[in-house]
Amino acid sequence: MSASILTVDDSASIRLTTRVALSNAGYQITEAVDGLDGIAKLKAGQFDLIVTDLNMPNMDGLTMIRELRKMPAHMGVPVIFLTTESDNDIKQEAKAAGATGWLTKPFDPESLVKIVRKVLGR
Amino acid sequence: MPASDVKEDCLRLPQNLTVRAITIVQQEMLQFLDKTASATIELDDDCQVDISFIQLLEAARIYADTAGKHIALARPASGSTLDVLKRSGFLEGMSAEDLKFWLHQGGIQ
Amino acid sequence: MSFPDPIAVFRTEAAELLEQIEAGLLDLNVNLGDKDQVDAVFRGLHTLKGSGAMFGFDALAAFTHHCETAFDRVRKGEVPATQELVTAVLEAKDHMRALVDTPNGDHEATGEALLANLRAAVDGANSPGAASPAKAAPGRSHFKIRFSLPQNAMANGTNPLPLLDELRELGECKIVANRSAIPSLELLAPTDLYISWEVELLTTQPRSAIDDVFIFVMDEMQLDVVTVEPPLAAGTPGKTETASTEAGPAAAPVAPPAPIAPAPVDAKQKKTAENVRVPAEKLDELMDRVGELVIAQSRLSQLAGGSGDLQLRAVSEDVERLSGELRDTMMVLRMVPVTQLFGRFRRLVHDLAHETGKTIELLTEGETTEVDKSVIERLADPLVHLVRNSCDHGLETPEERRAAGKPEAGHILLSARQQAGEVIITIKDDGRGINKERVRAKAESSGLIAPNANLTDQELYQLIFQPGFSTAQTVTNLSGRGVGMDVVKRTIDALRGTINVTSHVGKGSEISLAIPLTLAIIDGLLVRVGDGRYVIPLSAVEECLELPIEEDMRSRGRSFISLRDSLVPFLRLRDLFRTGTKPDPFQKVVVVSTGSERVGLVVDQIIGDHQTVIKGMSKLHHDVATFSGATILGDGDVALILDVGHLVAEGQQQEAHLRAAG
Repeated sequence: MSASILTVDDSASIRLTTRVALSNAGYQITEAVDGLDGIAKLKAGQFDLIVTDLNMPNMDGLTMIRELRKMPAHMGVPVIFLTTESDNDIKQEAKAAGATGWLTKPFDPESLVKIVRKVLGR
Repeated sequence: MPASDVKEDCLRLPQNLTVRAITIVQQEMLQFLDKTASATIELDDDCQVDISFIQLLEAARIYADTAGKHIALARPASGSTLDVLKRSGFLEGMSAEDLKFWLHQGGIQ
Repeated sequence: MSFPDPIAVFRTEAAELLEQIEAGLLDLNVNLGDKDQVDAVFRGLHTLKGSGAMFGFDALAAFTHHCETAFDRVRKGEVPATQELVTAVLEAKDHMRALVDTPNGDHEATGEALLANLRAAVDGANSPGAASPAKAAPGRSHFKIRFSLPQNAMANGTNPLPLLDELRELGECKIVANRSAIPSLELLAPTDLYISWEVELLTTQPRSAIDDVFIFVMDEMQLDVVTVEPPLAAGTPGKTETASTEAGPAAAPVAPPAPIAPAPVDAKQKKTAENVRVPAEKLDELMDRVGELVIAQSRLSQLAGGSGDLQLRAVSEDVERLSGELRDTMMVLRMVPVTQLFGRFRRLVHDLAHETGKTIELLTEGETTEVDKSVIERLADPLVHLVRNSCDHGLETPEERRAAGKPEAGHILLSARQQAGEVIITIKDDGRGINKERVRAKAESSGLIAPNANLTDQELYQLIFQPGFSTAQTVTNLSGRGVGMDVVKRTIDALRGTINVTSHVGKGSEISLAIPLTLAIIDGLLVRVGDGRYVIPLSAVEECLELPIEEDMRSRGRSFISLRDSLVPFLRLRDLFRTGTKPDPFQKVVVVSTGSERVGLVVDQIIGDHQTVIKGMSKLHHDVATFSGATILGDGDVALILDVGHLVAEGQQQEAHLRAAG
């Protein structure tokens, strides 16, 4: 059974890039357009991994990660966040919120798949 | 020492034995160990296991030991459980006691 | 559906392999000790030989076999990598290309000569005393690693198992879990991690590879890595004489074959499994269809918009969303990294350095930046011009550089980065810079500018891209060998791009090309001017403002609006296009910009967003500078696409005129 991934991003083109890259790599993709939508999708289903942007309208990524970490049903689900900053502060903040790893934008599809594989394992 | 007069109870664990469900498994296990002197743990053939479950069983062994109870696996570790034992480096440097518990090796249960 | 011709597929693959091999060789040339590159070149040759034989390119397979054998020996440490060897294989590589292109041609003599070179290079390298840095290639290191992950690692999504797997992939690995910290069940926080690990690792990888495994948890974890003394120095039994320490690693030519990374064929297979090769023209065809779909869709949404049928509207919205998504997917598919494009220049620079006797180092940055494939194809030629120019004329000879107190090696930096909807490609050298006086003199003598014309530096530099500037006799250091830089300008214009030049005498020049990421479809703002409709590329639009009649009247003749404390010139498109119509009572100003320059365009009405499929203009209209293309609207009408760069320039000119007029 292929792993299922929730991608959360307000940018349609990033969502598309991630969808294309990850479904080509054999993952099942569900999309959410912002943190609020992400939480709704999380309440409705189970995922093996979440890829999320940080800057989003309605609910930003950091808040969503914090909310997610309070949901027992999703205990320990890995979260990869996308960031344009190579800035360490943001990484620290996101890690403190409960993120697992990160990927710096712009990214190529291969590195996204690589990171997902790294976190999910075989 | 397994004494024939001790009633052996069996706890059948759910399929999901990963960090996602581990908190519930801990509760079940604690309740179960509280009411029995000799506990057998039965794992589903195709259960999903991650390192949190291995850690949990190790903690359960310590608990049983301190409480003077007996705990054992119904069958030697196989499938996903054995795989995690290997990958996590538990198989390396197992004591006789460990081998007996996990793999039923070196003695009869 | 037809299957692609296997021979054609092989040719494509061979071309890629040859490029890889070349890139590897050029890297190796810079750092002869680079074991990764030796492996990469070997793998490339190995695969080329294998698939060549499979597709009946026997001559290629046989010839490649010799090069592969030579590199196999380098890889095994039997022969060091030398400049001579690299050059010999580089030349052999060109021959391989010929064998791919014309397998039945008469290549034997050339092949023999090249192989003789290769043999000489290998033998020369093998002779004692030819010890080279290549031999310093690291053997295996022995690491003792102890680590514990952050306590909340599992709760935060870090599964230790993949990390342990990754460590195992680095080499020979023994992993032991330490469970002494696990508490009794009632005290256990089950999602916390109490286990720590001790690992012994024998690997050819550097220490940093271990850090890479833990990259996401590095800051919060405990990690101790100890390097254990080198393992029994390649222990050749029976060889007990006290080897002098300095000959140490170099004197062990029969080192046991280092554990080679997974068989090359495997790696290749893995890669092909994840990719599907599609001929470029199929992609173009698909793009055309998508373009037509977008046009049909906008017709549908116009129909639906005008009808009261809610169901029709709903369907139309769905189709709009889907075709938008399809377009985006298409765009992603067409994007390719600039790596390959940049790769060509390494060879070019290598050859030019050879020809000119200069020492030139080419640095590249941002190679993973992705650009539409057709843009890449069209960028190749202008970039060759520019790089060649920098090498030929920008960079000084080693003697001149020494005299100027610069390092002997000249540097050329080729970089790519994305910025908004554009990719910026920069060619930067640390050469002598552009001599402004000479550019001016040349431009004056060829009648491009009036004597003593008042020009900014940028305007002056832009002159070198004028046709007729660089004629037969080479005048400035940037004019090329009669190869017109105007070709560069023309191509970049056609790509709707801009060129920016900066230069400092004695320090070097920098030429930046800003090119739209994609060519075929743009998001546009549809506007009405008089009776005609026009499209303004949305990426250039900064904002839209009202132009009240009073303001319009007041500004007659001035044509400036004040926009947050700065005066922005504006152009009345109605006047520019001579529509002969009355201004709409609610005119709008669309402020567009290219970089730092802005201009307002006065239109009668803003109709809205429009996905614009760009169609080229006919030859007849090719010289019309105001428009960059045309598009078909939903109702079948044609709208012209405004060339923002040109209009901004026009606006600036107008500003300059008015300023001059006081």
